[in-house]
Amino acid sequence: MKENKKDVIKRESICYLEILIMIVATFAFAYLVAIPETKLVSAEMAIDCCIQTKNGQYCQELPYTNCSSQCNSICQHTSCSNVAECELGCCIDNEQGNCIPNTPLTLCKEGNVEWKSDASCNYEKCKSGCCVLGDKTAFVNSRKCEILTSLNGLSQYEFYPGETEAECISREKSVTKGACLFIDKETNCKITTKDECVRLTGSYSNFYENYLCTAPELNTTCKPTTNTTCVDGKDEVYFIDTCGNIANIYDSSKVYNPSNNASVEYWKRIFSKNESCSSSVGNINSKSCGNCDYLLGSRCNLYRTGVDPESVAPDYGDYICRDLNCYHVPLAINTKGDVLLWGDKKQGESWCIYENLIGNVTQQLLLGYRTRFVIVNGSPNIIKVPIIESTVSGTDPVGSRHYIAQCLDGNFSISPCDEYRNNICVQSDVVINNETNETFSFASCRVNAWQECLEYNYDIDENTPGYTTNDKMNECIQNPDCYVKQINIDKYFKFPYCLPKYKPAFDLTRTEGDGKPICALASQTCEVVYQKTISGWKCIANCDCRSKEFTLKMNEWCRSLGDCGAQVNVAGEVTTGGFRVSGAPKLIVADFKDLNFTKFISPELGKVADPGNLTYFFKKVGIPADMAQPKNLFSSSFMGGIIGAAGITYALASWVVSGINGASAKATTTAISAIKLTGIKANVAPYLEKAFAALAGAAIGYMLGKAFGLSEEESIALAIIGAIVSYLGVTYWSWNPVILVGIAIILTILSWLFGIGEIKTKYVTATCLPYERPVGGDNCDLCNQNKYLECNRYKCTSLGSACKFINEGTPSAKCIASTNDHAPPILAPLKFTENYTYNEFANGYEIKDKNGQCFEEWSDVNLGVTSTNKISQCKIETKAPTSFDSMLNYFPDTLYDYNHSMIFKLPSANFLGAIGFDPSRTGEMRFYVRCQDDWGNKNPVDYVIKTCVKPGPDKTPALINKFSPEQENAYLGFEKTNFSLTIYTNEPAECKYSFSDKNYEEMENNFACGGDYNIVPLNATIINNNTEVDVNLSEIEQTSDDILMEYLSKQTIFGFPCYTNVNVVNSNSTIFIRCLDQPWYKGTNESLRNANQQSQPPEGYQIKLSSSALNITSILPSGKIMGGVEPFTIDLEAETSGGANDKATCYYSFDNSIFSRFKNTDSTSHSQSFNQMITGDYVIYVKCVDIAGNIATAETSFSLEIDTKTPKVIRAYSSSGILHIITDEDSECAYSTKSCNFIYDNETKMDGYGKEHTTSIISGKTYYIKCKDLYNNLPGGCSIKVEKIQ
Amino acid sequence: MIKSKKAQLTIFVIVAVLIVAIALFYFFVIKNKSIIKQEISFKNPEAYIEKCARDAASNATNLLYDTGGYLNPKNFILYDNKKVVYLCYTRTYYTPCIVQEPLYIQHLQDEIDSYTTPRVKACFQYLKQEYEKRGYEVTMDDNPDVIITLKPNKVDINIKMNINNELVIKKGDEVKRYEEFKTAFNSPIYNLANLAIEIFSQEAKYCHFSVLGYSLFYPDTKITVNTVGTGLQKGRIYTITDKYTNKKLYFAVRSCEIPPGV
Repeated sequence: MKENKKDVIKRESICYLEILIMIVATFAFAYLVAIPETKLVSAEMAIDCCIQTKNGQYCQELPYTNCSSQCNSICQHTSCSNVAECELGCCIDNEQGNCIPNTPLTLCKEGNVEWKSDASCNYEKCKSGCCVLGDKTAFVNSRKCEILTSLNGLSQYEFYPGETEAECISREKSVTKGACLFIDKETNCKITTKDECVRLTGSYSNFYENYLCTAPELNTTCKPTTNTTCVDGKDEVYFIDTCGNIANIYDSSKVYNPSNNASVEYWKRIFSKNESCSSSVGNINSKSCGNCDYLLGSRCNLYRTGVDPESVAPDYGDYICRDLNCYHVPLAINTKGDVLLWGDKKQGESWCIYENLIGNVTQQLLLGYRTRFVIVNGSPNIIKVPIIESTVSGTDPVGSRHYIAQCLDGNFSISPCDEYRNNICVQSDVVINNETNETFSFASCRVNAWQECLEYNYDIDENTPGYTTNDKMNECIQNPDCYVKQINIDKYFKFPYCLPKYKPAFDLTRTEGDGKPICALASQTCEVVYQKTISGWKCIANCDCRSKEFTLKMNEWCRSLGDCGAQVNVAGEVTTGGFRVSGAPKLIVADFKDLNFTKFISPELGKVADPGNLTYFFKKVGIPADMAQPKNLFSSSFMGGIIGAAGITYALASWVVSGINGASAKATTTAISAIKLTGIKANVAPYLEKAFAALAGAAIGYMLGKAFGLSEEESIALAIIGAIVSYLGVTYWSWNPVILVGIAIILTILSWLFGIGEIKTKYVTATCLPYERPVGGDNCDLCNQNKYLECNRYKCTSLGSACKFINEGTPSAKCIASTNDHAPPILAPLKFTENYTYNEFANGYEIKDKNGQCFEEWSDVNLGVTSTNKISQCKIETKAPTSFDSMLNYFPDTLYDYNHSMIFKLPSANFLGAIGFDPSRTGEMRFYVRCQDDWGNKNPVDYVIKTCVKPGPDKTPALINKFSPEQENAYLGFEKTNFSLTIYTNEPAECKYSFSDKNYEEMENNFACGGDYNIVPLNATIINNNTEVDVNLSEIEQTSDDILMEYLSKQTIFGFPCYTNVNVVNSNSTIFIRCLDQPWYKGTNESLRNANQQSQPPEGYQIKLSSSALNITSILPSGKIMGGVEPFTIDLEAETSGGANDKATCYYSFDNSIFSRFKNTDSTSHSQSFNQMITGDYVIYVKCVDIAGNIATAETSFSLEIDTKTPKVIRAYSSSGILHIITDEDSECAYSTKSCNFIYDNETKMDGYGKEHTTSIISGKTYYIKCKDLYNNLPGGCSIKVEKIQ
Repeated sequence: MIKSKKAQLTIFVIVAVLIVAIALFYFFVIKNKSIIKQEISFKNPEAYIEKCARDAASNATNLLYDTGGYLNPKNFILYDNKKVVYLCYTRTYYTPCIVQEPLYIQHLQDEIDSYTTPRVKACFQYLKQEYEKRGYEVTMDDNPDVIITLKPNKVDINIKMNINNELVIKKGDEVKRYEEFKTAFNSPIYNLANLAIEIFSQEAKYCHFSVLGYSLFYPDTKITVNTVGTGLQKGRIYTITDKYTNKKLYFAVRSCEIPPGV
């Protein structure tokens, strides 16, 4: 069959377009590959547990592929949590008294140690309290206190459990001291503690509590002086006596004067801090009072003559309360290092420093102009009216970071928060003086929950039952780090999208992490729908996608996701390489002039990141909201409590990140759904005369409406009018209904002939890529110039493609520019030799299959080039470009690297012009590559990659690559009849199924495949009044291209998808599936198409029925739970049965709204540990869902109580030389024969662990007995003293 | 020209080899000898042994500060040209670190011990030689047990001779017997190590340690933290400074890292 020239040209154009589409689709493919990586487990991703690595790390998870090369021990083919030696727990070191959390068992075996399973160390013996060590205190656990007591040579063990760290420090300041007299020494008095005095003198009688050595009645050689000193570990300035003893706090009015009773008294006994001068203020720089206070901004220090002002010179002595506050310190700094705001800060204050604008802002986006007629001075004029729309988007420029500043000991310092804006600096200002409005600021670097914001966009239905998009968006709004942006391009291309307020940053060199999958969330295809009318083609849906508005709004979305799209870096440089659009106007830098990106690079004074509601974060990770109360945060440990919140948010990220998933389908799906919903079929009933006439009139009216391109509503209105008129005409004016029917038939035929009502679709594609760095390295030094804000790798690399960060981790770290050699990259083939053969030629190569033959149709071919002399950025086209800058498609992306490769799916030979089956003909393809180095030196000529495709015809039917769900997971919900099935074919195809095995043609039920045009019925109409636009016919001429585009844009990592809903009735649940390939030949060349001769799979796809409903059979704990220490560790355990396959995934919630997944689930037993529970009543809601979508819910309630009572001895007796002690609760007892003041663990234990305890007893000896219960409640003194009297 | 270049290169290589040799000689011979070959008071041999042990243990202690407590660091990150060991480490993202040295004080004692013991033995040998040169008869345990105990503000050293083979120095009727030597030196290493334990324990539990919060409660200790490195070699370097001795203990932690992107 001879083809005419027009056909050849058409095929050629199809071919080029197909190739272009493949390039475009590769980006989508890259996205599709990248996103599921977080869930798919491939050989490369599988991990092994290594007990000890070659560089000495314990219990680390290594990639399966290189575990053995890095591991000193045998690689265990499982995660470390399943390896006994690596189970994490609490290592209790009894030798040193330390409780070490998160320790692998293997490291806690030798010596006097215990390993316990609660990795948080929520054990009584690990609970800190106040340990008094002479005149010092330590906030440690009881065992550590014993050890420190011993190491300090102290005899008195003094431990106060239950005290907070702050209380313990206060106790240190009030330790009782007094004068200790030495009879036979020259310096015959020393201020000590009582114990110390006993140790030094051997007698209690030498100690005079609260007396100073200068007390006249002690008659010592020590006399008052006017000298002062500082004391290690204390804040205040102290007087000293002539013996060098520390006396009371310096007070110039209390200098010894025998005629002044107050001063005499002051040198007689010890005055507490509160009794001393001006104790409520810090006495900063006071000449007369040395009652300094560190937390109030002062501490004892030497007065520096000649340095410190004379006005603060002390009246007596050489020491003053030095001012520790910070004056004239930077409060706002920009990237260049300019201080934009100075101020004063108090000791201990911390505040955030942002070098640029942070968070999201509302801006006016200039979308374009409208033409309007206006009357000016009586004459008509045409003016352009700007179309402006408010938009909310993130601001943090590329390269920026949050910093935290603090004032400590009079010194001001700035530290960076974690790189890549994974940390944000949050700040709260607390009013400390209502009259002056004086504030104290607290700042903290906390985790930026940006992953969570993106998670809200993920279709959560399959993970968490009962959630809707509205729920998710509401949750998004509640999250302090997120906001909802309305993506509103057109009527059928609009949806809410949750975005991070503080945009995440990405590694622009992609050595550590990759932002590409995140950016790809905003890579979208908008389907623009056209309809043929009498006057021509009209755009009827998503028409605005073709406008600049689409380009600008999509980029706003794109750049709000992070370091993506066209945006600005910290140096104020805007690049557009991160955003591409096809089918709509391109983006240019000038588009941003109204967006005022430059204002992003200056901080907004006074704006700080929201610390957020701690309760919210706690709820998210299943910690009761009560724990967020300050009293509870501080209950266990100051440090532990204050940072708990920061730490906990990390846990958030761990489960959030795994959920970032395919939200990108949303836009397209929305558009398609809209089209489906608006498709209406007109029904005709040809029997009843009047009604028939009315219906004919309606049909006429409807078709006329359609023919003239009216909207759906208008057409229906016209149909109604037509019906009424026809009815009246027949009834009252004697119209002949047959004529009306005739008119209707004629109109229908005309419509069919002229194709009126025909629907066609065009695709507008937006591609969102990571931010493209400015070419070159002219701005690198900006990073080094800032003397306040340290340069780092991320900021450095954001300043230019030639910027490099060197000497990292040393004081000489800096950002420098690489050398510009003014030469272009030299390109060579990047070979994947095992599958291909290569034939090099000047400036290019030819690639064929491993046998040196052309490739099969639809083959995936990995094409690559390497820039041998330097890293480069490359682009690729299928038509010879004029220059690097004119090329659109990155190869593979904007990254500068040596190697560049992409997998391309080759087209069919037909599309390459090789028509018919002729082995001597092949379809040839050429790819043109050009690259530029990091200084912008570009290849002046193309590097060409040639390849070819074997000729057809295609004799192989389509194969199903994958079923979703897979056969083994194909379960139908209990008492459900609808089963959703997706199949993926290796080439575009139409597929059908039947409940019995039969030929394709005979199968009754269709799949909806990627290129299935039935989604818009031919007689359906979609009219969008608001967006009706006249269309140039040339816009929609290449319908075949659009068909291909539709297929290829639907391609996924698994192949070409087809969907269906199987209606399962009468337990007949095995279906047989067959496909018919090459759908583009539908209705034209059906003979060229291949149908499966056998069903796939041959035995059919069996949908298994759920035998029963899913049930939650038990949840623990419930009722009352007693514990001995807060916080509690509680293990929530649920059991499920029934459902599809006896397995379920369970979720828990403390408020029945926000559900989190159990840590151990996907089984019939589900468990989750909470290690921060406190006393109180609780209800936990549990939802479980199985593979078939069966859902079960249940709840449990319990109360947590702490047993603080010590066991009581209710009876004691001796019998046959055995002492029997009966306690009121289960406990254990120990005794000493010396005193009640003994360390429990060091003394003799009695027999018995219940209520009865025994030991042999000797007459005449006193037994000092202490009993402790299961919760380690132990009395301070004795439980009972027993003496057997003869 | 080529010849002169080669000659220059040869000279450079020789100079470099010499420098390395001198450095090695200094560290392994002279420095150790300086510990060993000290003046012995023949009236008071215990003073010599105790000083020898103190010097060796003190040197060991000083070597441990920069590396986080390791004489031969393996699991380390380079920071300011120091090999700073990870005391708490995880390769994975989003998870708290796994404690790598839970018995940290014991480990430090073992490290100091392993450095001190051979040097103390050498001191005994030297002592024996010197006494024998002077006509004394010396018998002793060749493997004395050196016990290092870290305590608040000091390090205790206890050298125990074998119970049946104590150090005996004889000359005529003069016999001196030594079963045990005890000495100590001031060091903040115990205090710093306990704070390190507190920090890495909190990192393992909460992913974070509040430096400012701690500093306000305990003004006599200075803590700084710097984040360096990338990927698996990223870490927070904690530097704990004892304000009285200005000794600094460095250690690293990799905990709850979040990747840039995914």
